[in-house]
Amino acid sequence: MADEQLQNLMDRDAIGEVMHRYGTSIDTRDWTALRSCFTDEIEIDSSETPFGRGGPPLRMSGDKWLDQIRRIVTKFAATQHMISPYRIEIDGNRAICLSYLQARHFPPNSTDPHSVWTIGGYYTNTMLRTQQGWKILVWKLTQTWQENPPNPKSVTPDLE
Amino acid sequence: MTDEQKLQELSDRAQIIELMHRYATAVDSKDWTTLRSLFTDEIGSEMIGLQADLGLPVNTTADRWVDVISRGLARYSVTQHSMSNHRIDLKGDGATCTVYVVAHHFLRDPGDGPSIYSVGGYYNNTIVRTSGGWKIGKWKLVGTWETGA
Repeated sequence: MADEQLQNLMDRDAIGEVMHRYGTSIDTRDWTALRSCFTDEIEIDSSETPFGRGGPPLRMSGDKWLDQIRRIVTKFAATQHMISPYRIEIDGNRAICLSYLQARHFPPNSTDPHSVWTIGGYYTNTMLRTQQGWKILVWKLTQTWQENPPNPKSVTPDLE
Repeated sequence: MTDEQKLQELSDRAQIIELMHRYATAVDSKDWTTLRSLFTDEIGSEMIGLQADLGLPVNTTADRWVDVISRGLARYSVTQHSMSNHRIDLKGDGATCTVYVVAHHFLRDPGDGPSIYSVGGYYNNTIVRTSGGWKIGKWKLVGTWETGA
């Protein structure tokens, strides 16, 4: 039992660390660190976001999903993804990690608070245990609110 | 790693995260005694990326540092420091802890200007293990945005 408890604590710590690394590497534009959070093939479930419009989950390479994130976030002078892992349910080599999100996106050349695009909601990601540690196998964002949204076309990933 | 090493690392990480949470709560509740207890007696401090200048000495005693901070925050009736995205790099009896912060400061007397000063960024603190537990040896705040300045 003690071994299982210790393993469970280690797994929970490592899964939370992946979600923190995911958010921080987007904001620091550390694309190598961001890519390390994803499996080589990843499923993107954007059905509960404004840009997903209820469509089915899509499979793509981790490289392609990285490119989509990079294309959008580099339009902003700064971003900050505050991520708080609240619930982690581990089942063998898979886990579901629910993390609250508040993300602020600052357009270039503005300090006006009303220019800041803020989104809130939560991730319900499926995590996979790999030889290189836990990684995000299914990325699912449920966006519950936003403030000052920009033109949707400029911030919609290409999911085809 | 042996089980003992795994447990030690988990325990160290949990204590360092709690140290940063206690820091935020102590500042927001204006509990200067608790805030003081989170630092080593001599500390370094550095703040970059923000217009605000708190007048913090680069190297000073923790007593003086807390005194400067408490006076700097006196013009705010309420503050809230929200933290997340902890990244901890443990090296024996030392560590660096990078943690996101979004801090809202509500002015007591805003006059005609903005009533809320908000700042975001991250702490990149140097943490040291002491006989009294983990403590902050160097406080470093990197601001990435601010509004209402």
